[in-house]
Amino acid sequence: METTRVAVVDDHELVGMAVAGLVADEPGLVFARHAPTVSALIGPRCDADVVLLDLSLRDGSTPAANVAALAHWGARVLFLTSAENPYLVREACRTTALGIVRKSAPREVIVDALRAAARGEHVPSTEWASALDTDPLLGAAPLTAREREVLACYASGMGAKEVAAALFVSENTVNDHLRRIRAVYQQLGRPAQTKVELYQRGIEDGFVPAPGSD
Amino acid sequence: MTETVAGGRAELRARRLFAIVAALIATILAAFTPLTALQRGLVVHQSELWMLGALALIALTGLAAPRASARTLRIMAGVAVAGWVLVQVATLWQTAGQAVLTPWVITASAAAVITGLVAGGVALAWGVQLVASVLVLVHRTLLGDITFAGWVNDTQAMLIGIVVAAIGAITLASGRRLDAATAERAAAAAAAASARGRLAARSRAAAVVHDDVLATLTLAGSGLPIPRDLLAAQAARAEGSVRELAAGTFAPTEPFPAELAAEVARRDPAARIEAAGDGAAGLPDDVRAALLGAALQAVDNSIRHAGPGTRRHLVVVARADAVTVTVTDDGVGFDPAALPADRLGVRVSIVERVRDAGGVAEVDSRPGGGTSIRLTWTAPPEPPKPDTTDPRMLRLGVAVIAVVFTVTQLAVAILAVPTARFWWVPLAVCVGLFTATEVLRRSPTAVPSRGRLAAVTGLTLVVVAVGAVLSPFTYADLWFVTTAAFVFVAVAVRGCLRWALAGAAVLLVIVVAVGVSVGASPATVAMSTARAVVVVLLAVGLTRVVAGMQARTARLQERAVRDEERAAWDAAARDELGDRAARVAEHAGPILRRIAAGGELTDVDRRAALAVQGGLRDELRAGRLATPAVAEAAACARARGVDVLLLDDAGDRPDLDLDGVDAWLAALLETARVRAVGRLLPAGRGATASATVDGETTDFGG
Repeated sequence: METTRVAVVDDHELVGMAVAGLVADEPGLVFARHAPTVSALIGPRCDADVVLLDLSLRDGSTPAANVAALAHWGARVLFLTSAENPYLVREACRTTALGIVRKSAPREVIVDALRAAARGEHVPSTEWASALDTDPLLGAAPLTAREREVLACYASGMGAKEVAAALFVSENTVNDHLRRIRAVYQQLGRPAQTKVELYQRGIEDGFVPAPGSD
Repeated sequence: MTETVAGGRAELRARRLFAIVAALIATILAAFTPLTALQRGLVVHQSELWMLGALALIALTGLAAPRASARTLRIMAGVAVAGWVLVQVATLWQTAGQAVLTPWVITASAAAVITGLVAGGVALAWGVQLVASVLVLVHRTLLGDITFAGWVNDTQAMLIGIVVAAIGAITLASGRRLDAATAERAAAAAAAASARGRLAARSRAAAVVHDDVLATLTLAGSGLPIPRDLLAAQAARAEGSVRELAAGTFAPTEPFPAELAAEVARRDPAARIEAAGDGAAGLPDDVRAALLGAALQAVDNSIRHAGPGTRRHLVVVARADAVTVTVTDDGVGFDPAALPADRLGVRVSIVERVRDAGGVAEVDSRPGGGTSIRLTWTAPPEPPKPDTTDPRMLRLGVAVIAVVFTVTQLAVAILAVPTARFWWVPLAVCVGLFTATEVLRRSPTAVPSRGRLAAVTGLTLVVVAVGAVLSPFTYADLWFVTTAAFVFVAVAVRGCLRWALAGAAVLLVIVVAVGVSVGASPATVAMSTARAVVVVLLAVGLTRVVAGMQARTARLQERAVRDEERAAWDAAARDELGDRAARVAEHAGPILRRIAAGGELTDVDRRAALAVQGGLRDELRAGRLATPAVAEAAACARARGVDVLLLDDAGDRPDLDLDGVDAWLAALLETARVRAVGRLLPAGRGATASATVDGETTDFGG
């Protein structure tokens, strides 16, 4: 079994330490290094297979630019989030990153996600499905009724196994649907240029309460 | 907040200006009185002394105008006008028994009319003119002083009064409109700034909460092997930033150059940095973020590609309306034309990003010659000023002038027939000038087209030239010279000052040329042209000063709007930060302090950290699901180690019925062992909510 090198890009060095501790006990996973920004991580030679990338870095960089830079460097990307701001999540879903993992998720969930990402597999999560399922843009997207059903089930917290049981299909079929949903969603437009714009869009769409309304 | 900017500033300025103009005219009139008295052999009529007193009141009003409040100014002007009218009546009383000629100074009503405008607007101004005209008529009747020359003088004096009142009316109306527009803009700008301020504060507060507090609590709850002292330091930092936020000492925004300089210094401590200006105020957030991101990307690129030992130089200059950032290095450089399409660093993160924000990024580099990246952003030009000319007022003013003009000048033309060389000349001149005014009046736009202006000017000048050649060269018989000047006054009022001046100049040349050719005395030539020249100059001057005043007022108000905007931003940002931070401090403060103390964390502490962390996340996403019962059940479940996720995805679903949802969900959460997801469903899903607890999904409602 090949080893997968895991790097972390996060404002907090402690997150890097935590991930280092997490993968230390896992066979097949090794910790590469931590960097506060994507630019600081990227060196002349790619020395990480999977990069855990914080979704809201403070350096003013956007998720799209970060993922593009890392992909060009040669690494696969999984997003790490502290909380589920659906706008940042949607922004992340439009990139080629393989998935989104909550920092507070149980450790086995994070480890499974890392292994799946190392294999190049999509890592769907409830947060991911929920953010997509409620995106007004998805209404016009070319998804089949079954795909929408799969997404809704996933957004309600089911895993592939439960969705398969609920819809009387195989788990593989569910995964095929999820892959296609992801591919379709990546084609959707309206990428935000800045975080401020993201929040503004959140207010427009009524997701984030408008200033002064609370 | 509207009052502070509105306050009728433009209108007040217009009133002040007119008070000063009235004072100037009054002073000139007063200066003429001793001269006429001197001509009579130093005989001063008592009525003239009274009139001097009335003019002094008008002058005094103008003197006080620059500092007077709107109310004081109106009262002073009112008193002055009342004094002037009283003196007129008293003069009438006195001259009734004397065989003196009508003192000319009482026919000069312009100062009083303008003062009337200041006191009570255009209605009072026209009222004053009417009273003045009637009184002069009565004077002349009582004195048997009705002559053709007198009629010419009186009607034209009256026309000047009316024209001045009309210009004033237009100015005051546009001042009011400008005030209203400014108030509206200020309110809109303040609301927008307040929204943006809250937004920025919200995202900043959220960033602090996410990055520091949530990260700390997650790590503390994870049980991963993290050095205790590092975790304690992190918790202390997080607690400190929340406390700062709550106390309001957290700066809402740092000046852009300072922020950029600090970030660059962090990346390359050896970089030479020149930062100037605090143009953060005018810099929109998205532009700020784009410039910051692009500049830092440029520095990162340089660090990565320019080679070891490269020296870097940052220059950032931020003014209110323009920002320039230059990142230069003396490294290996590259050929921008040969840049691979996938070198995202330059193309997407620098050039496109700055361009999308409305700026310009220039990349100058060649292999071996270093790299210079220059980012510029210039504030978009101010939105076009609202058209401050009120078309309705303009039309009304022109219409009134046209009526008075037509009636009086037609009368003058008829009176001129007996003394004319050919009886039809005065009538033909009259028709020609009426045609010119009508052509101007029918302009579909407030500012007439060039063709129309040329037609009006040409016709007027031809009529005057022909009329002057065919008429006896006397003041009274050349009445139409002043009449023609009023055509140019109308042109000036429409904003075409150059056309008006040029027309008047040619008019002057024509009359002087005719006068010289027929051998008229210089005095007659001067008398025949003086009023025409004065009235055009007065109209041009007034229109011009008024336009300048409006431009200055507009600029002042622009600044007031910006100040208002900034104040609203700051206030909103402070409020929002305070609220958010207070809530976070209340929830997370105790556990953060426990972690910061640095002692060994118990299982209870870890669970507490996870519970608080989950609660903070719920604030962002649980929405209407976060009722006290659900929050309590979720906190208990998290304390048991359950991963709880609450999502309010119902949006503005119309059929949302939350009755009973919280009891149902709370009961389910109590049974959870590993993972629980509660979700309010979007519209069109039948059920109201769903819950997936340890792999079992149940729906509620619908």
